[in-house]
Amino acid sequence: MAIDRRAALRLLTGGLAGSLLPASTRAEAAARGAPLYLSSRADGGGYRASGFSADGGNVFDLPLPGRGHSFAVRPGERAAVHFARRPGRFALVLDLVRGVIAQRVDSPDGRHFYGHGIFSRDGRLLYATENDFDGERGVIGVYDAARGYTRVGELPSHGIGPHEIALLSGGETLVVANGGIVTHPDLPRVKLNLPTMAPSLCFVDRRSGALRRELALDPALQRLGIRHLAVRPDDTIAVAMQYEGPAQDRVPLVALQRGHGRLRLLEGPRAVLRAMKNYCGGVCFDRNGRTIAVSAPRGNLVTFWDVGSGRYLSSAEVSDGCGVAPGAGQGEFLASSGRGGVVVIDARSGAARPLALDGLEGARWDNHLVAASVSRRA
Amino acid sequence: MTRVLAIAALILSVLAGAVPASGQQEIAPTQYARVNAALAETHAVPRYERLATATEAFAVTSEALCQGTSDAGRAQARAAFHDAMDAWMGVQHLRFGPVESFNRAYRFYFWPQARAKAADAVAELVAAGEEDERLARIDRANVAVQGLLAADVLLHDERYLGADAAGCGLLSAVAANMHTIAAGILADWREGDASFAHMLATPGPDNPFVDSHAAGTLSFFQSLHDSLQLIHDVNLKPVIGESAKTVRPAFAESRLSGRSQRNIVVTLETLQALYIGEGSAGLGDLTAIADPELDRLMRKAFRLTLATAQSIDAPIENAAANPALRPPVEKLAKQVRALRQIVRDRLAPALGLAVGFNALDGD
Repeated sequence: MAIDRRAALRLLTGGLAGSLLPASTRAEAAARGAPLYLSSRADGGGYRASGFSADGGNVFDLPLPGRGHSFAVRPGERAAVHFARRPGRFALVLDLVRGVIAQRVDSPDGRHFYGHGIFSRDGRLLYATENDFDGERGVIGVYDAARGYTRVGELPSHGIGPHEIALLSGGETLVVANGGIVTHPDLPRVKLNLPTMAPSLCFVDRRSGALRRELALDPALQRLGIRHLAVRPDDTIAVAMQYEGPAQDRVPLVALQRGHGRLRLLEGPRAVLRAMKNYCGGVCFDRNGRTIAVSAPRGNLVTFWDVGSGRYLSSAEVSDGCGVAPGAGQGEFLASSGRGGVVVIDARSGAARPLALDGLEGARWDNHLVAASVSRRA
Repeated sequence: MTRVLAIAALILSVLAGAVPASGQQEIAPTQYARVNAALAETHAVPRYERLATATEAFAVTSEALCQGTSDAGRAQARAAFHDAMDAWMGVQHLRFGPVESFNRAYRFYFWPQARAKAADAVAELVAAGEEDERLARIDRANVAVQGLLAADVLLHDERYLGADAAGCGLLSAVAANMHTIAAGILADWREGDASFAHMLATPGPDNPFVDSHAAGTLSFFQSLHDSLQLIHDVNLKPVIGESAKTVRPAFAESRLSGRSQRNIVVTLETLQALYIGEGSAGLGDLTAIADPELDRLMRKAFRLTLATAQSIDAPIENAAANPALRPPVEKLAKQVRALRQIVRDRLAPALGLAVGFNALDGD
């Protein structure tokens, strides 16, 4: 869906600098399905979750109880859940129309969130990746939105360190990136098992928790953590990875998977892989699903890859750029910088422009940028 | 693509204020190169030499102890163990380069990861007996029993190395393994055209380790930052708790050998040496160019923090649990935390090193 420029103008003129837009304007934008971008950011010593429209209008900017990570957008409800970064225990239900925190949900004793989640297609059940830290195993917490986000169940992630999670098109199979790294909240940022880590991409039945399929990497790539993923409407999966081995090793960092196939590791030019510093921060498809953006914040780079051929296309320098989300057009992406600012990049024409963020100028963006209204015109 | 790069870079440098503030000097590649060369030559290599020497002595005393256990022999082996620990604390911050290969760092000292597991792993291997084939190939055994953690258990747990010399075979194997690892790291740092010191001095597109002189300095900078973070987040915070009543001694480092405070002192001395240099340039030489006021602050912060650590006259876990001895422990935690914040928020930009919060501690 293209941005309606008039709606965009109304958003701009309706908002006073630094303040929230009138609810009627937000509701109007929401009703039109104008994309809304969600991210979290550092603000002095604290953290905030922010929402802005495709033209940079500030829709909300809310204080967080701790550092946040990513969002699960609730289908049909103009709501999203923002998760704490690991080993955080909070999840906040955001009302995207009113721009307020509607509810706080905490992970149960013995579990913390990993920072990602996904709703069932009907918007009722929320699946969140969690750490059973004493059991040293990954789980998927199931929360019922219709019952005040009561935790109604728990599924195994069939691996360690589950991170990003998505739902395949049939609405019944979850796909989860098990990063493979054991961590414990007693020593929050220490990776406990790097010599023996075992990452996997697992397909899990969302009702029974049964493992439908598990994809692992060659043992030589045992240190290549599968952390982030994105799914196209035809269930093509894009995977962005982080290598925990020696810095001088050159390993693939991006993979695609389709149907019954294995993980197809994308090669890419050696110089680009090197510039990515063995560390990807996030991945997303563009609006028509032909291009993916993979961020490499340690290399201050956002890279673009062609989904059909698996070929590397181009990259853009974005200082500490980590969050990526689809823009309005084909091959267009938004990328957020940890040093401040959001840019709109066209992966094919080479055009790039900063997004003027109303009231959020210079905001230092945290790991993820999520589009709350995703066009299905693929 | 070039156009995208140029435009995006321009935009972001303006947005992010990446240009040094007025009154501050930008650092030239030759200045990074000079500091990298000095740190390789006068900091890293001599410290790895010390590690190789200390582990060799430890291997010799361990072997001698096992020829006939005695109190004197045990005392000698313990002293050699402490020297090896001190030497490791002197290089542990350098997590890049040769130490990354072959799991060397983890095999040498799998801490804090194997904190609760080393004792059991040692017990199992000792019970298996001297003929167990894992002793002959200790370099392929569980990383928890390959290095300092296992040596600490064997030398300080009364079950071992008594009259029956239980655990002697394992101690000898571990000590020899540690020396092999240390000698390998040292050789890779300084020997031949492909030595790591040479790589560090000759960055470029075909150099697998560093593509620029600034990238080399960034590695030393990260050693400083991450090590300060580790002292606070692993060696202090989980151990000392909120009060003297909530201390968790089980989280203390080197609890059996009673050297948790000494480890912190040696590490802080090491980081101070990385900053001020060892008879030659250190990271602080770059700060002095870019922001002399920050350089003075850094030097003072190191002095004060180290003095606090030295003033604690007991293992951290003991001092923290004693209301009379606790205040300097709390003070140390605050100072280390503050020092790390200065390093992250002020030193990185002053040195012109791009260390974003997404990149620094990612997820």
